[in-house]
Amino acid sequence: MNNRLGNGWGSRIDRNASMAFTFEGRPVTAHPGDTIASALAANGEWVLSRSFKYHRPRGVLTMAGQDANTLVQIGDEANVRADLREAAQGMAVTPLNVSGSLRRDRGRIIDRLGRFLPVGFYYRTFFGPGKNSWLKLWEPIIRASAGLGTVSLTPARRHYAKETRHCDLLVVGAGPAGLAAAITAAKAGADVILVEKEPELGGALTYARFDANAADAACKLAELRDKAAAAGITVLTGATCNGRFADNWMPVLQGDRLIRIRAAELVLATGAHEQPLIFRNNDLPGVMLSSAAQRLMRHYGVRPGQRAVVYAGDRDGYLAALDLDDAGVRIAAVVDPETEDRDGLSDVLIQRGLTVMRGCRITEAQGNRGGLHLKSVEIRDDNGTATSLDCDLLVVAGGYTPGYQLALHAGARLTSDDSGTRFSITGMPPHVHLAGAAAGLSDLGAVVASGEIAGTRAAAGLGLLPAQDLPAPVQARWRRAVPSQAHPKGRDFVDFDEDLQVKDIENAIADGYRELELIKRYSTVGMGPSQGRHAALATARIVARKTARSLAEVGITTSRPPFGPEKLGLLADTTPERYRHTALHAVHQAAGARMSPVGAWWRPLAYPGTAPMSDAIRREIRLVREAVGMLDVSTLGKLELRGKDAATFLDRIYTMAHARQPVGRVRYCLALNEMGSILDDGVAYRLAEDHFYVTATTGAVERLYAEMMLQKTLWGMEVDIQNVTAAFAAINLTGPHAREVLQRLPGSIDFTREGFAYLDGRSGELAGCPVRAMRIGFTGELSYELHLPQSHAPALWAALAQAGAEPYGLEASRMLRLEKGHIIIGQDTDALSTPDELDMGWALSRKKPFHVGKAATEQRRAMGRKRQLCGFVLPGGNDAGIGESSLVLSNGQPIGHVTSFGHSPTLGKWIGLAYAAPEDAKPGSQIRLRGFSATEIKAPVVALPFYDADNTRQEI
Amino acid sequence: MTALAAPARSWPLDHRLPLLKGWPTDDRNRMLDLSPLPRLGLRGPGTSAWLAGQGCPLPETIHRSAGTEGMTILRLGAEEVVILSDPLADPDRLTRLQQDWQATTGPKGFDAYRDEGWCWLCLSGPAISDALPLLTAIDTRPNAFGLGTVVQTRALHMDAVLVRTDRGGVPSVDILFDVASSGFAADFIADVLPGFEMGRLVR
Repeated sequence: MNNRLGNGWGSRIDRNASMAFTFEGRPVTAHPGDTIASALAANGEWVLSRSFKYHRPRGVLTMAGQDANTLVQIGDEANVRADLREAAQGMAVTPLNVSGSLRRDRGRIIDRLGRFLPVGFYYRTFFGPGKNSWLKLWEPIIRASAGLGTVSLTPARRHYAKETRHCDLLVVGAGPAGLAAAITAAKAGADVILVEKEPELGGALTYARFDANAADAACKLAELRDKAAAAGITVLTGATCNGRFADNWMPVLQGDRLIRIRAAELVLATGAHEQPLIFRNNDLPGVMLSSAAQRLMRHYGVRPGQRAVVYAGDRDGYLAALDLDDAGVRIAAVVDPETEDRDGLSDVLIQRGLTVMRGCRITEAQGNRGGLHLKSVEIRDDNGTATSLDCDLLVVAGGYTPGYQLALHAGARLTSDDSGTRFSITGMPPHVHLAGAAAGLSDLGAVVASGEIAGTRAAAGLGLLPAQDLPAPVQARWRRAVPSQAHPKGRDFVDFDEDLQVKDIENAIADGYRELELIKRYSTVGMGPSQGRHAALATARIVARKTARSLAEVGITTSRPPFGPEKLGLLADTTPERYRHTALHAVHQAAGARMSPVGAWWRPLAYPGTAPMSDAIRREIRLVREAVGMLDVSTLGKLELRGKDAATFLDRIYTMAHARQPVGRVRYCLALNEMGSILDDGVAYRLAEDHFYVTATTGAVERLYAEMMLQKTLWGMEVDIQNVTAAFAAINLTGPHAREVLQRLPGSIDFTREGFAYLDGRSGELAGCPVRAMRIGFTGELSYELHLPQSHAPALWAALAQAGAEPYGLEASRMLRLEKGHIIIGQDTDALSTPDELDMGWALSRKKPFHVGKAATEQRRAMGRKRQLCGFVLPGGNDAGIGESSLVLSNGQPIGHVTSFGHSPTLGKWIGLAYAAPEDAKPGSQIRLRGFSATEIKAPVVALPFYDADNTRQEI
Repeated sequence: MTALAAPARSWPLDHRLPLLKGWPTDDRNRMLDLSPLPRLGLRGPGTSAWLAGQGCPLPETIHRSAGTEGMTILRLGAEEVVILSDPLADPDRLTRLQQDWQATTGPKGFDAYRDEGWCWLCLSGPAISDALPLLTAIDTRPNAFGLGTVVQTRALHMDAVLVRTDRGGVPSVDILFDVASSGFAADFIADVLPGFEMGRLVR
């Protein structure tokens, strides 16, 4: 079937080209510019989906993406609005909520069982017949049959973009009011962004005639478009403004792009939403809003039906009838509930030979076999006399509600008169302006004028125009609407999404729910994809009638963002995961390192080559113990402290004495917080009287730096503190042959044992690179930590390699330091760890009157320790499955846990650190450990360090 | 002792971006890594006085830049600047400034190590105005972020300093940020600005 109209109709399609897609496997031809729904309609396919609860056939209602009837699936993309999505060659479109085929859906049987499914039935059913019936029987059935689209577990990759824009004025809606507002403000010098969800500017001017003479609207459309093009406005079409947040922060969705816009001023020209009519079988395919019929004809050149009945609940019904007549659609009758001609258009229709039935209303629509399409309507007059008219199209002009959603997001209130025909939005916040049909206007002249006023007010708010006392927009006559009446046989839908009938709302009230918000939650009215656009007003009217209250007293449920559906991809953080590389990253990769993330940094775990990791780690440990290895420690935190108070500051921040630390010496640093818990550790190298270079752990440097900046400000000290972690690379050269390697390289530093003692620091040149060298110990072997500007690091690394050093990784480093009994902050410490618990009382200066955490440390010492970190070994193998986090028990209760653990190739046994009860933590005692296999064993406690207790190896 | 080659400096994007022979003269959209080019960061007491004593025109207010003798001086604080060499000019003045600073013994501010700690990218081309909203949330319209404006903000999902430079009359913005995130930044820009060609310059 070909439902295309001739030339002169179809402003959005290109008749010179064609394409094809499939719908439920059936081929469908389309023109470029067609939406899926318009192409299907042109091909005579009017059923698009099955409804949520009763599986009733549904078709075009709004042609504006404002209803759920047109939701379809395209490949792995679920819940696509067919009346908005452009058709494309090769698309595979399938309907939703169908069991079997769309026309012979097996779920349609539910429609006959409606009496057993009253409102809220799910609160009272599915609890039997047995105790577990819900979980074992009903829930699987409901889960399989519920939901709309199908989510693919292997979706195709999509690219979502996010950007942020700023403007002086954002205008939402490019109908006549929005265009007028944007043009006016742009002419005054404002930087304007105009957002329109349709693919072209003009709003209702693109499909509605506004008057008997359609040429006026066409002229106005052309005029406004020309002015907009000349005004330098930034136009975003196919873009939906999905909410309004504080200070005019607006999310605009344009395809797979999220545009966040901050606007100084905002004009809401969001139009109005046409309302459906409530009568029996008002959901049949072939029943559509007047604006839907006009969009089909004017935008897509599709004949909406062969023989139409038009319900003229307001003036737009007459105008739609004129359009249908112009398109050659036979009109059986125009049905007007009013007995008088209030619109002055009756004669125009009669002169064309059309029939106008006054004082009548639609009471029922009848469908063809299977209810797949409308075939006739029943009309009753005020006396109750019924007339049946054959038709395949019922066009409904049921009145409007303003596009109030964004205004309510902004904090405004929506009120109406008692008949629900005249609305007002009040309480608009500053810098937000309303225009056009959203402000309750319908006359084209008034709509345009209101847009110009809104644009002027916005420009005045920007200081581009003087503030003016502008006249209020002309309040033209609003459209009338007829109250809904229940049909004794039901199927008179209030909410198409949720399949809720008038009696469902009435029964909810009878069940005891009087307030609109409770009725909404009990019945789910307004909670479907349409979000109450077509149900809110009708529901409020029913509630008012049944509870003997005015509409004003009942109110209308509020609106919150989002305005329309949002893909999760638009909301998700789609940025690549942040990573940081040291200057030696490429070198490690070239050497075959196994890299691993440590926070945002990537570090080499080991350099296995083709060997198993465990073999590589053992080899690297042996390398350090017997020869010389080098480890990239560039991720260590590094802080420059400079200024006359640098030494005094360090004395206050850290626990050890730094004020009299000699220049050229390195000292261990332990930082506590105000609670006396360990914050971080590192070393401080004094380069000059007023210059310290301080290291910190990779994970805590940001926290430590923030704490230092706070304390510096509180203490009012003259010290410049800079986080130079990324500016400096660092290489730890360690092993009995470390000194020889350094002495092979040209440089200005004396690396002899006499010239460079343990805990000395030297600055100079090494292999042509400027370095700060510190002789410290972490592995227990002779060690030098070489810090240098990061751009020089690859050159120095290469020089060290050429001089005989080999790389080792983090895994070996962890075991080496464990053998030496050194703690790792954050692994062997937690938020409560005190120096006493770690036997680090030696790091607390007794002479300093103050350091951060001193008072708390002393107070906590007086309270006594509940736990103690100690070293332990396993007497044999590790059959018990002991590992890090294994519990330490005392009298059968957990008292601590294992913090570090592993097999030491140097010592040939399993070693570890653990928190235990203080009385158990003494060398010579035993602690009870529970392995991951739930086996408990006793482990001897030994003195630390496990390796080289006399420090002879690291101080050679 | 083994003879060693003269050490060269290395930058994170060396292995990734093609080396250009000179500053491009066309107006294609580009991201250039300028990290190896000379720059000097100073901070702390004495900074502004020392620069004034050297005859360097310090921008009067914070968050402005000033150009002189092949340098662009960005004022980041009352006593903090970063000085970028102009890729289109001779870097001798900046080199002499660095040498003079090293030789000064009195108050002169502290070396902020900006020649090491920051990656320096330049985005240029006619698509800059459409590109910037994808990189940062600040207002990048010309009236808010015009020539000579310096912004310390978030861009590329990290802390960054942005300055509008418009070199050679071509719209351009320089971005300075954590050098360890150079690879991440290049990945991000390649993802959101696929039409931008990438390259690097050395001195």
